[in-house]
Amino acid sequence: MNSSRHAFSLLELLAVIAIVAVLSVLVVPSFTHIAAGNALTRGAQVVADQVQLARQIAAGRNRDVQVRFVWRDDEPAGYRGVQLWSSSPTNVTEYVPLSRIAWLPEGTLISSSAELSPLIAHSPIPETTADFPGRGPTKFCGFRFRASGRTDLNFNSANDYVTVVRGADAEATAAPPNCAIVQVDPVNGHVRTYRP
Amino acid sequence: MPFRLPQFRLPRSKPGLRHAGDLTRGFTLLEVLAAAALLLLILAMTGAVVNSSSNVWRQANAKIETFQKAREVFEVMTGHLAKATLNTYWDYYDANFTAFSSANPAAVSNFDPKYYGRNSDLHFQCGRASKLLPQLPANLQETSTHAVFFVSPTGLAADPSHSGLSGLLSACGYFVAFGDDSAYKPGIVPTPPRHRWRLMEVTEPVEDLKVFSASGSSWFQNAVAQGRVRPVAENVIALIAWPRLPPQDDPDGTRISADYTYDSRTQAAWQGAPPRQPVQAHQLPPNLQVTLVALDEVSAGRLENGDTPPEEITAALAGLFEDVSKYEEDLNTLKTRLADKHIGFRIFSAILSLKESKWTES
Repeated sequence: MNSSRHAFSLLELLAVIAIVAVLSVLVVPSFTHIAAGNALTRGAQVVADQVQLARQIAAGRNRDVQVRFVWRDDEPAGYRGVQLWSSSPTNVTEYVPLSRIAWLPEGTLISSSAELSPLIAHSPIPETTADFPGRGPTKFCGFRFRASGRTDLNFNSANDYVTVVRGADAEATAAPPNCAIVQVDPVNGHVRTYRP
Repeated sequence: MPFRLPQFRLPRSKPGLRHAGDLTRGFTLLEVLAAAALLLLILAMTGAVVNSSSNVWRQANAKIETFQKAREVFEVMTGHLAKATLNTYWDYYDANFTAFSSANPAAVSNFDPKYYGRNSDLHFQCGRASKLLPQLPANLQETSTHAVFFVSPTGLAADPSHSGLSGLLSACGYFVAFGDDSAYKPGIVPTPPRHRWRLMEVTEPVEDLKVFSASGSSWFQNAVAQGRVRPVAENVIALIAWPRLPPQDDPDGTRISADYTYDSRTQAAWQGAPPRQPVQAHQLPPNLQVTLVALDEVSAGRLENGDTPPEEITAALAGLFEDVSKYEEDLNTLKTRLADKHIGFRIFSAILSLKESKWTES
């Protein structure tokens, strides 16, 4: 009878703490997994949105628009941003950015391996360095949208894609289980996103 | 005298008896369990509510996205169609109704012109897809409703050094087909093939344009048979192309074509005295009414049936859109049939004016 008036004993408390610890060990990784998956989905969305915007601007303003993948050196190093460039309205020989750089979410990047991102490995604007306003010399590569809404990519449509991966998978040459693929149709510029 | 803490005595209760003032007592295990159970119950209930509302949101989003895509594609397609060209010219025809420019080179010196008539090296054709496309590539199983093929100045060239020539002609066409996406998706995507009805586009670069060397419809039939087609929108189940005069001249829309077919390379005979060229020969219809029927992804996913087209869709389209005078009736039948199966759909329709058409019936 007296025992019902005790508070918890140390043993009881320890047992509860142990259960909570075990549960959180089981649950937390799946949460970080979900968060990482979300970041990849958003990253693919950023790339797809910029490509669609480029197509619209090219058709709407009747001029070529460049889609540039922007390199960042800080961890994880890789192509981590997209920016649209077009010839300046006052001087057609000079290219100027149309918008700010759209960065991919923290911890994600566009793979540069030929297997995962053939569009980057064989990009019509090969990897080069140019002065980016506000950033200084920056490495980039990319492709162009023509005013007709088509791209300057090869006709081989199934091979024009980039893969958004996590920083840890930057060197992967086979599709990691968690990645997002953005495919551009070279003829009509339509964008398709695959999320295996 | 040593300092003493004031003694504070809690009222004592009898063992086993509970009342509100008893502060020394902890919770009993039963109470804690009951509280935890209640908490879990509340969590489960809120979870269920959140889950179901996120499901509703996802479904609504899937619908909106499919229809957005269909609308966007409809705009692009009608933009291309409106630029269709035939570049019609006047030509001599002999007593056998052979045009001077299509006569056998050996016979040119003996050519005996008898009539004037329209002629064109290009082609515009629309009609039932199953008749226009006798052969499909391996990844497409079936076509539905109509198809339209034309030549348009899109400036499309496979050779990048031709990219500045924006007026280059290319073969264009649209049709609706059922098949899987294995030929179009990146090789590294491990997901199983998706079987859907899709709006397909034929866009041949100028280098592959065979409309000049082929006399009939083989210029687009070969392109399709060899798989030079690309999907532009998923879950489009019907494309209806109706060549007609402007509505004020032709309220019923039957004067150009009664069965939706139109062929600018028609082999129909010249009729009357003096003989007149068939009205469809070598001219573009002035107007084209284009209608797309798109499903939402939720319904399409529910109907998925492997590599055979879903029966519900085949049944809903059976026997429709063969007679232009029944267009409204057929469209209403289709709406009723789809709604009866609880399939979400949307219809896009517009009457395009083909700017290059110089229509004459004389």
